[in-house]
Amino acid sequence: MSAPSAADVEIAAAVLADHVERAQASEVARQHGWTFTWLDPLHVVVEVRPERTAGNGGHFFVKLGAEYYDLHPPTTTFVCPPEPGADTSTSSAWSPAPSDSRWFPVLEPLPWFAVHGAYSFADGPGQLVCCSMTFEYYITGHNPTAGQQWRQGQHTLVATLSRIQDALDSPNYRGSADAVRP
Amino acid sequence: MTTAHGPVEDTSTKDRPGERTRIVTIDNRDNGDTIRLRREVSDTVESVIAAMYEEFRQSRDPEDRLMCRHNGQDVFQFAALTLEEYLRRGHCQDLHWAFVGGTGGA
Repeated sequence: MSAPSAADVEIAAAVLADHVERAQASEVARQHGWTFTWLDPLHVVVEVRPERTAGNGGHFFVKLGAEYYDLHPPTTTFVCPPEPGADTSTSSAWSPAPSDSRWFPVLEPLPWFAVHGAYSFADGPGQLVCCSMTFEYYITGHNPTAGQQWRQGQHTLVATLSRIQDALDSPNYRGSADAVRP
Repeated sequence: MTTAHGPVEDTSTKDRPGERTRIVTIDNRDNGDTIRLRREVSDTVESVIAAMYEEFRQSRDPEDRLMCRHNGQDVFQFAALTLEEYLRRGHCQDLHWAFVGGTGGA
């Protein structure tokens, strides 16, 4: 993908709202207990829980953005929750999770998924959820096959969340970074 | 009940032993849709797969995966079996499958 254009804000917001509503009502969301918190019309945070730690407090927050949605996948970042007392409904309150934090998952890379704490982007290092269902994957020199590419009309943010959930439920998931790399 | 891809079949009638039809439930993990297909037990798994792609309005890709939701077992490998044979051999007794398209990463 070369220099993608940002989506029309009103259309992207409407599409995101529709897809979040459908996701919330889906069997897949109920199965995994995903909960959605709106930050603004273009951003939503989703709480995801690895299956093995369900009920034991293990969980992560994934911020999805519709800046390029849904011609392209959502921007995707594991984020830290706001400090106690802070306004949880502002996008800036949810900062990218540092790679040594409790909010960053440690995974042995899978053929179809990895999380990098400091990947080289054109504007400097940053977190990369490395999967063809995230926007960032396409601006970091990856070359998915035709069958792996995001397809508008077939994929929604559920595809992004499903891959994250499947990775966290896989034997390759080691735990949160602060526990694995104390 | 409908999905974004059209109507799905009535599920109000529960499956019963000896019944000649069964309901196959398939979650599409690419978009969150769930379809339910009532099929004769003499139908092949391949025919259910074909119906799934029709409902999803997609063509099959070699990188697609279709798994038993309960244990992750690949369903495509049993395409030649009838549903009756598939169940008799102990596979995926609740006939709840999960579809996911190809994914690149790492």
